[in-house]
Amino acid sequence: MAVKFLVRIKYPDNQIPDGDRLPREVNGYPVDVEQVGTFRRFMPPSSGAAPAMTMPDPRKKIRPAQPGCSIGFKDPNNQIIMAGTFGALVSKGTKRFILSNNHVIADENNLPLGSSIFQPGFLDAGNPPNNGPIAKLTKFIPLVPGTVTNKVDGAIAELNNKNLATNSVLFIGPPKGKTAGEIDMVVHKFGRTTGFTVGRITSVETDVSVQYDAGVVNFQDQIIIVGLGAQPFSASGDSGSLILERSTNKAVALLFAGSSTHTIANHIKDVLSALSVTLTL
Amino acid sequence: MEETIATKQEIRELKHRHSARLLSQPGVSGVGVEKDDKGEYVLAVHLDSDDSEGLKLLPDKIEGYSVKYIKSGPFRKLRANNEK
Repeated sequence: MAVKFLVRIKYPDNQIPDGDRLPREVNGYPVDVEQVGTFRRFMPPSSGAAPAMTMPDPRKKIRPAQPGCSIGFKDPNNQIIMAGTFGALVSKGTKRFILSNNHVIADENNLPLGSSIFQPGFLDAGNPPNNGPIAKLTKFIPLVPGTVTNKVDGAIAELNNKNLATNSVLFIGPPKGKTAGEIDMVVHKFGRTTGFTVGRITSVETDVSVQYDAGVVNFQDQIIIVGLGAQPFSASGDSGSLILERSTNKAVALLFAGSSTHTIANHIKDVLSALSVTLTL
Repeated sequence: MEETIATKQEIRELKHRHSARLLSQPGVSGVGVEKDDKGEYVLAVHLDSDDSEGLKLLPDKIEGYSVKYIKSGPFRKLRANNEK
């Protein structure tokens, strides 16, 4: 006899932070963990219905890489082992880039342009690391701590080869354009840590103070999201995720910060315009 | 006194006038335009915790407009890290 935990995604033991691991036994009974994906209500079969999708593991090595999966940089000082999320495939002319946050692929202005971006991030790659470079840091919008007002936490890295990534967000599919966020809009995202989550926008113009390594950075007119069903919309490692309107799959925002209850995201229009790129549709 | 219903633009302008001052107070992590439980626009102030020292200094109303306080912060970047 055992106590069985049914989980959305089952991760290897060495990829789970110490405090987050399930117990090995409960009241003396051994624990068994089974990956079952997300439970959904059964829909009556209809013609042309898509087969049920299993929840992908964003921390694995994925080729071509897809938005929603783990990415990161290699710390030149070998101090930080990290991971964030590949948000979207973006273009300028014939060039293709991965879009994420400055703090995910440029280490808060610290990483030299041209540095390699890896999939998955080293925090998820195991030891020895099973990952590889997919892009090179091309441009970041500097984060400025103090009283200066920032708009976005964004950066792009050009793909080493156009076949190394697609525009199809894990579990969600390709973005169908972009639209402005509105209060009460229902949105979804797929991120490296919490995977697929659904939330509701509570504000599209909130000024926030966010704690970074370099100090407190102030952002103006940001989007605030709370998770639906009392579930958090995001957690550490989801930075960089693209947030889309649930009913249309149009891109709305780029996730970059939050707390245990609230998620903060940049307007996607501001991110794309600051980096002079367009979504690859 | 009967409360008047604020427009989005009024709350937006209220935010512009007071955001920097409120954000400089200890325990305040966000100032924005939101809706209250009745669906009316209000100035929302996000707090690090509901026992923030700064909360004692924060008013129920600003320029006559109601303020909604939300315990939601502190806000951090959401990168997963392991220091070596």
